[in-house]
Amino acid sequence: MYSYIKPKKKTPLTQEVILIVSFFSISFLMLFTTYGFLAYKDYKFEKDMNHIENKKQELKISINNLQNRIKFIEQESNLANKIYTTNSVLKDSISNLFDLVPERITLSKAQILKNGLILFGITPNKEIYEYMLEAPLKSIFAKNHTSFYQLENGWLRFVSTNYLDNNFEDLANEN
Amino acid sequence: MLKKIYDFLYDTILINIIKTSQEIVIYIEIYSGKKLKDSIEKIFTLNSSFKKKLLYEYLKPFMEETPFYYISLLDNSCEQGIIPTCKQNKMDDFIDTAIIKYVCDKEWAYYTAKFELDDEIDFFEDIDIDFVFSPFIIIKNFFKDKIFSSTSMYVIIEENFIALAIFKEGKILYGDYICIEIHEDIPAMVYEDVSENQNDEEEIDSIDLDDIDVDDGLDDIDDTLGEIDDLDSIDDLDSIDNFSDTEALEEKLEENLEEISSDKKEQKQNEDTEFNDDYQRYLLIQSSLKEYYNNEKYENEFVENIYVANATNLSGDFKRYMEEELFLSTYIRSIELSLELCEITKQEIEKNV
Repeated sequence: MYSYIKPKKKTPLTQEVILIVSFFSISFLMLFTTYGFLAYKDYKFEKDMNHIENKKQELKISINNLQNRIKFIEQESNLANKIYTTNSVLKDSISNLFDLVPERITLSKAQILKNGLILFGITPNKEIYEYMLEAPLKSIFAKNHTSFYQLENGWLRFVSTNYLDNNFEDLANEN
Repeated sequence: MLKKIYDFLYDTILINIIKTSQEIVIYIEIYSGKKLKDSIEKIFTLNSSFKKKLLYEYLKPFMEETPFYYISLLDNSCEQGIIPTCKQNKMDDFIDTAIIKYVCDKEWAYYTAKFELDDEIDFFEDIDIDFVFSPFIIIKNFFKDKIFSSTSMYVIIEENFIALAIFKEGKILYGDYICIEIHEDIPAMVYEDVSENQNDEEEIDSIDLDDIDVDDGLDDIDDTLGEIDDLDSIDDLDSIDNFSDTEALEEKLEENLEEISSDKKEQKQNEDTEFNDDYQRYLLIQSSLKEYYNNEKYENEFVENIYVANATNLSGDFKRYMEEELFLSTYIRSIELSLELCEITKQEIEKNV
């Protein structure tokens, strides 16, 4: 070192430079803060969206399940109604059937089939059966077949097989 | 890396100031990276119209242009010199180190008086001086190709000072700084170090007397008398008639004679100023050389050569004096002090930054 004194510290940070650097620093800081804020918001939005999407899927599945359940319940309801209707019809049919049976004929057994009816009973004679019971049965069923056999007291035991369509053979076999 | 960025962004401005008693020379070099972009020189004359504010106003744009500006000042303190050792205990044999500011350069030191250094810096007030360089460093740098040879004297001669140093094979043996004050109204030089140069002054007087051409003086007197004869022939004859005023006339004649002879002397002095300056510079160097030879504090070696850096207007007579009177082989080089100061500044910045 040649000089008697040391030089003043030279810094590139003049007042103008400090001003410019401060300005840009603050600007960049604000930009980055805004960017960070927006990035966070974006991330949060994305996350919420995914969450909502998942929820939507879950709800969709839930809705499907519910719809299936509703369908099933509707089917059950329909079935119940049908059964109820069928039962009512059956009840009415049985009621009607018993109404059909005159007082002089005694039923010992009645088999109600899907499309048929088999009656076992005792009648004092064949005519009473034919006029009192067979005639209404014929009006209801398409086919009728009655078998008689003699009892010791002179009465007749009968088995009346009645069906709604032509599947009489099948009905006969079932028995 | 950072320096490269700074170099790209900012210029480097080197402001070199050389202040003398009459003027302030400002030499500015502007660098863009390592490339010299511009160089400017400006001289402020230190007359009554000079104001420090003008100097500041001139430098202000350069200082505002870049933060990397360096202001160097050449030390012009009269109380400066060389100590041929750098050992603290030996330095006190040469000078009281408490009152000086010194810088060690390997085995020797150059110094300047603290109060003068402060004054020099304070003179520039608002201008922050970064470096103050000794002229001895300029000697060392300017004659770097010579100082490693045999014992020789190296001198910078400027109008206001003489800085001399004796080197032997790169080692400094002696150094001296002589201030020269120049007064405009007195053509002859006045030397500060009066006590040292008393004998020289006597010598100067004797030389001056020798130099006066007596014949020329007599011719002047004859001419003047002739003129007086012509002038007085008409008007003064009436007064001479009285002859009572003869003495008064003689006095008048003597006055005129003195006046004319003093004018002539002054004219001659001006003509001989250059000659006198060189002679007196020679005497100062001779005196300093005597001090070197006679003072036991210094390691005496016979000086064979003198290398002169001429920063003023040395005439051929100076070389003649050196060679004929001191028997020194004399080599004179021109020097631009401001450029050399700038060179030192560059070296210093490279070291510091």
